Amino acid sequence: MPVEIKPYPLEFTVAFTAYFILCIVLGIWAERRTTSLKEFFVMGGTAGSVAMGLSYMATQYSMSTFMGVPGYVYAIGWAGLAISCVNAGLGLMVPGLLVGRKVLSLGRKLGFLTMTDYLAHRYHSNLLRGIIALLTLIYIVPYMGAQCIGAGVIVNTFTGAPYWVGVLFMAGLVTVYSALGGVRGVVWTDILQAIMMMFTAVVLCAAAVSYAGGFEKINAWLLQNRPGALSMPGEPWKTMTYPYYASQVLLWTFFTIGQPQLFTRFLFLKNQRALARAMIWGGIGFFISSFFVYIAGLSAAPVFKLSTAELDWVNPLIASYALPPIVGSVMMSGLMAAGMSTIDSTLIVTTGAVSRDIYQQILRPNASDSSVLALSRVAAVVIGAVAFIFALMRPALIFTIILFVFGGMGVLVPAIVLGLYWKRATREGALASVIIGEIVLIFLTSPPAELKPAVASILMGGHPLLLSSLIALIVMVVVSYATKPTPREILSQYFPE
Amino acid sequence: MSSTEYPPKPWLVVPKEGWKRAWYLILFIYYVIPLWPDVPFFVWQKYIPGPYGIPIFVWTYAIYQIVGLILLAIFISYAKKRGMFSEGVDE
Repeated sequence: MPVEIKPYPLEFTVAFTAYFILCIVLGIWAERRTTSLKEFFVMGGTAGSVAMGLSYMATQYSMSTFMGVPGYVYAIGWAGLAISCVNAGLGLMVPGLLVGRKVLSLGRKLGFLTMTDYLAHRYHSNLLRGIIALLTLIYIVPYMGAQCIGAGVIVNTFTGAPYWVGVLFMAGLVTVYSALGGVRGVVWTDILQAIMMMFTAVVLCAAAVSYAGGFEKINAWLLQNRPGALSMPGEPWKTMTYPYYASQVLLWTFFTIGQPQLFTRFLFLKNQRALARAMIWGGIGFFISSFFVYIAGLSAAPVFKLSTAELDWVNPLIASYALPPIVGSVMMSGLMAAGMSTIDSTLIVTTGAVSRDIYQQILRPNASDSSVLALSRVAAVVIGAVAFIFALMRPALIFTIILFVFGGMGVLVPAIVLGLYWKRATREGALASVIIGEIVLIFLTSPPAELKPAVASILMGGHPLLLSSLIALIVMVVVSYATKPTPREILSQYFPE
Repeated sequence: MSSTEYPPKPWLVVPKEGWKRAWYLILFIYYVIPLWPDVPFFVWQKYIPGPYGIPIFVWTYAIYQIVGLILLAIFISYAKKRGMFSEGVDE
């Protein structure tokens, strides 16, 4: 079977245009209700359970879920499905119970609009605010760029249009509806995108299994040609070991707490009961999206022979060969939706870093909300343009960029969690934890060539974030004990007597 | 303010209420099962075909996730009755 995708520019353009118009309409509709800063950044604190659950899932799952991981499952076999196992139950439950309930209450009481608002207030430090705003820009803008790379490649492949057209389409569309409608526009489009993602996952799975002749034929082929793909830890990359599985559980549940685009979702909620129900909605979304789309990846193995460099293309190939052109085009819109629902949230977060955290809270404390709202819209356009340029440069593979970003923000988790649970956590402890954690993470991610074997043996196959966070946690505890406790007037707001 | 007012609490995130502790333990054990090396839950080391030719452990993946969701729903329902998700309670 050839691996070239069959282009169908007309159907693809029609499906994409319809989908994009729908997103713009939602953005314009949301814009009419976005008249204040609180509306722009946290939807006025009015989000219900369905909006929260589906939006959280759509934001956490990105293009990597629909392109990168199915390719990984194609490569290692059924063992790869283990990655999806925990998110249904734990994806939103762990962050929701650990920080969501507290952050929701504190956000209402103290008027938080961003994750940095919380950290800067809890540790009464504008320096920490500045550092985290800067980290948000450094890490999250490339994350947005990474999603646009996928869009550029897809549009190029399916229509023959230059790569930059897809990047511009994706970055431009998201920037327009996010700048217009703020978080309300983002959440409404997220719901649409989450539904698209679930629908796409199920249809791609059915199409792949059917195209390959059914499960029995797929497994018979695997048994004959790649028997290792039918058991753990997978073949030819024997990666799904217990330590790797454990590290994935931690990464995609506990360490999502440090991702500002997910953390701020707890500030959108209207009440605690909505959070409770959102855990179920999010879980259903996580399950349907990942489980079926990962099965699709391996089901294509008997019919498409892909090299390692072509693994990301397994789902576009299924859409191209196993479905009628118009249905395949809708499926590709679903893949793009996975990227868009991530970019829009990160765009709002980075906008907040500029207009709220740096401008209003550090440079111009007296700036009015209306001027900050106007600046937010301008900042959204500028940041969207920077992400567009980043995607044009294509400095690395999508998944490499995403893992780097995930680690960079994950280092904040000790400061976030201890701030909520440990009275003794101090400003100096948080600052030291964040700074040293980031330095250690960068060192472990890109060690000097002569130290690479030593670092690899220390990490034992785990993500560098795990060790970096452990060190950040130890630093935070030691420095907190060595420094003056947080003033009572601040603590009393977090730990009422 | 002396440090004795803030004793170290390594169990910081462990709830005080017994019912909540019990539920967290149930959920913890449920999600730790696949990590237990001697109990290869969805990790049967060889291919065993199940209904519709789908390997048994793929069925187990699906059932595991659905049961996890049901457990979560029961926990949330119970926790709501105990006031865990009421405004101003246990925040």
